[in-house]
Amino acid sequence: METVCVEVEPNRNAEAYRNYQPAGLPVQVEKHLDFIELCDDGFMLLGCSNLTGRLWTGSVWYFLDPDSAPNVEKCLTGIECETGVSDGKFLEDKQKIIIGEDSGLVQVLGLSESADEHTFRFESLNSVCEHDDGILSVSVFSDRTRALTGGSDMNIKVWSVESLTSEHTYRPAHLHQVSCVCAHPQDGSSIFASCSLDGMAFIWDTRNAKPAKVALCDGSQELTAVAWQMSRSDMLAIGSRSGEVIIADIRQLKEPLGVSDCFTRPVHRLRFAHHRPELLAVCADDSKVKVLDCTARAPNIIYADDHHSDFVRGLAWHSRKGTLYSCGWDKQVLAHKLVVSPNKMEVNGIIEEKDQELK
Amino acid sequence: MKMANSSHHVSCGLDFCSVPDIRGSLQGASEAGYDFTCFPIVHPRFKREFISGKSKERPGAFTRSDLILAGSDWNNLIVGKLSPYINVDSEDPVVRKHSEEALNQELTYANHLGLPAVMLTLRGNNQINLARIFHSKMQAGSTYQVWVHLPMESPAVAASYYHNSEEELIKLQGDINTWGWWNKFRSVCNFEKKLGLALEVTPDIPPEEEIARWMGEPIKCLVLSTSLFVTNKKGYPVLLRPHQNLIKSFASLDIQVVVRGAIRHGCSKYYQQYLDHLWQSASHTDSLLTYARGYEDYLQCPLQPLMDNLESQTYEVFEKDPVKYNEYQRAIYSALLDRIPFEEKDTKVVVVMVVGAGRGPLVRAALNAAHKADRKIRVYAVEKNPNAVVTLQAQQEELWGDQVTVVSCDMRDWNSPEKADVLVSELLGSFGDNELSPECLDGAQKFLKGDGISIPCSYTSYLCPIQSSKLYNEVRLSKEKDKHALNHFETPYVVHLQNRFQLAPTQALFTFHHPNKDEVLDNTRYKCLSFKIAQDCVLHGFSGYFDTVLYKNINLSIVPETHSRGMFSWFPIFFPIREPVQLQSGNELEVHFWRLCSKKNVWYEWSITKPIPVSVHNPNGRSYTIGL
Repeated sequence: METVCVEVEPNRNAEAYRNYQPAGLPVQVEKHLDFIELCDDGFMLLGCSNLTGRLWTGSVWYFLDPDSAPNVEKCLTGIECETGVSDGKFLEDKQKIIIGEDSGLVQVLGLSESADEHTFRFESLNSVCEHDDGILSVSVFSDRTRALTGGSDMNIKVWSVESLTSEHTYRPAHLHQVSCVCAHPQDGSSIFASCSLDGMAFIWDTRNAKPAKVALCDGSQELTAVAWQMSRSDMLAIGSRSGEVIIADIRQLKEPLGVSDCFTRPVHRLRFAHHRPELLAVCADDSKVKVLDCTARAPNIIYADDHHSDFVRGLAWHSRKGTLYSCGWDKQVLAHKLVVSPNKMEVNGIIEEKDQELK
Repeated sequence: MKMANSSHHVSCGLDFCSVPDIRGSLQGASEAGYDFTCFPIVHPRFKREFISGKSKERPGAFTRSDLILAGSDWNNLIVGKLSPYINVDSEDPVVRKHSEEALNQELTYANHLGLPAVMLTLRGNNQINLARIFHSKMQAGSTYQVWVHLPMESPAVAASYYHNSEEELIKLQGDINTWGWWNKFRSVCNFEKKLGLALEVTPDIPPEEEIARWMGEPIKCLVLSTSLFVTNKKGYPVLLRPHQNLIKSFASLDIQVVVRGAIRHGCSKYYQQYLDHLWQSASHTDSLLTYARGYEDYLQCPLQPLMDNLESQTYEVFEKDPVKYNEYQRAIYSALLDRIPFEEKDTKVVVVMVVGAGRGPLVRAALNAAHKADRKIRVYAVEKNPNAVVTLQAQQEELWGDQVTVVSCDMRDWNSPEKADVLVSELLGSFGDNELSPECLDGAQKFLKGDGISIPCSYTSYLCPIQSSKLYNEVRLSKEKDKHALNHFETPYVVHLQNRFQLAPTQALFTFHHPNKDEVLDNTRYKCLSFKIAQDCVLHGFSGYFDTVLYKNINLSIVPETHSRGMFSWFPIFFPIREPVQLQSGNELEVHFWRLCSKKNVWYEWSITKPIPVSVHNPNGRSYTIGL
């Protein structure tokens, strides 16, 4: 970089910047870590984007040891993407993934082992661009043969993973950008939830001619995230732009089960744990990671951590170790080892006795 | 005066949802034939913290540097899109504050870059804080245009198809009339001229009357999603017939097109090529429209040929009309046949007086008519403009001979040596009587025989309420320094109306007959008209037209419903009102019009009494009179 500056006459500074080509740089993890995923074996997928600066590109990385992310030298492999990558999920096994890009592109990537053994690389198995705006959320049905995507174009698409053809297109599914889609954890391939900045959350069943029904509608609340509880599939958590987390029972949608004023900034992602289905990890346009215990009617904050220094974007539970991982725009991946005990709350690693119920 | 733009190519922009490499995207769009692009100002997922917390101190820039493109590229080729999550009308104060800060940051940067326009999406009818912010920016002298992106049909209609209880969803959404969203927004923005529409064409096309209403709005561009295109036999993207027709009807307005969405047909250039083809095929062959190109919605002061002498140039333009003088000739021809029976054709001579002969087209028409009818005439050509008299005398000397007598005199003062059988005049303005034809002909009829014929024998003015924020702005901006503060709102304008919506069918206003056989000649008039309003709209003023009976069944008309084909001598007249009036479907609009006279002047006054009273415009002719 310095040599470039030396050669440039000061009055040609603008041209020098304009024509500067950052070529030949080794592939690196972009500034903004947008999502992480952990498969059953504990392998980690990390997606990141450049949201500022000259090039707004992205990349996806594969780590065998989640604790080594985002160190590029320790990754198994990575692949560059033409635009930012907002969300991605593992497919039927740990060898295949599906990602959604800012360009509206949906891509299925496969991990292939090279002939000389022990080196792996991603290859694009299929990609198709049918969204009219950036994809914001990707989810995979429990039978792993179908996936769904939602985006800024207000559309939701249901994909057959094998051929990457769209089986259903809901155009428009919502009246504002679809901030989150989430497939039902047990039902194989047809039921999912969605929410949007239009203030509505819907439950969909793709088998029906009229597939959608309203799960939540509060005109004054823009909705930003949705997640199913892993074991009690009638339980849904919905995040709002005001920072609330709303727990709803889909069998009776009139009145939410409980509400937690978890954050004062828009909720970004909600993840229920596999190993302890009552635990719900939450992140927002904030540097904190929080975990709610949703056993009681009103969800309790049982864990809060403020070690990130910028917005936390990605959350994933390690199903065997019970560890929560988070990533964010500070380019950090952090592991949160929760000690869960009743009436205790952990804040930044310090466990506090709880005298009173937190709201 | 505006120059006519000769080519009729579409100006087409390409919308990008993501711009990984701005120079590459710009180059790609240009190579595919696009004239401009729509890019996000900040990455649409890059949210910023403005109030508190660690992220407030986030290091690094919030978007790309201006150095990455040449200044002229930013200034000409890029419409900046605002971040989609900005919601300054949120009930949550934190969301609102963040949205205001983000909006401000993005608009300030757009101003810094010198972008020609910014684009935002309107998502409901409660965006009042947004309107206030934009209004204040525009008032403070922002350099960019503001393009309000809005679908023709609310997405709630299409989204509700997926729902068990469609009505319920639509109810949840509230008002689904997107025109109402826009109308509220731009009304709060006080119809700012910099505010334009980026109207998205939806798969379902709204009813015709709603389309007509959109045509009266300041549309900057039509937004076409690539999902509207189907693939033809050769594999290229084309639009279905209803969409083709829709777009062709908008092509007559001076608007651009933006293509957005996933590239579904191989390459973005095919959309541009197809749209350009549509544009060309919508090009008009109508002589009126060709003649009028470049005059669209351009305000002109009405001529006052009685008070001022017309210039050679003006005569030249009007004499070219292919229809008007033909009809006059036909009228004179029939009048001559009626006046002289076949048996007397060689003996009887009819006296034809052309009053206001100008440079002689009507003299020529009279001579032609006489020749065709095989009747004998003697012509007096009376003209008060001494400059035009030169032309008349030259023609009389070289071409017409003794058959024509040129009289250099005002017809109201002339003492004719004999009485006329036929009095021919062309003294009509866009509003019929507004160039004082009644007063002039009343003065001239003293030398018409008792059973003499006046061509024209009658004329009627017509009125139609219209919506056009473009014209409203044109009027508002024509304020002159040393005139009455309301002068420009109390003056009628001659204008080739394009970007407007007629709120109701045209109605007849004032009629004049010639010769006037009334005992006391009175050319003052007063009438109240009532218009039935069929859908919600805004009243910006009234367009005025006229028709005339030249003789028996020979007519001229500029009334839209009966317009004489190919005639371009008159553009409509436009009477503005001071403040736009919001009208609702079912309203009765009651308007009062007066034609008033003094010894020196004639003028109009106008007022509204329903649905709301609006005070009288132009009292005592304080802003506009026509000199006698």
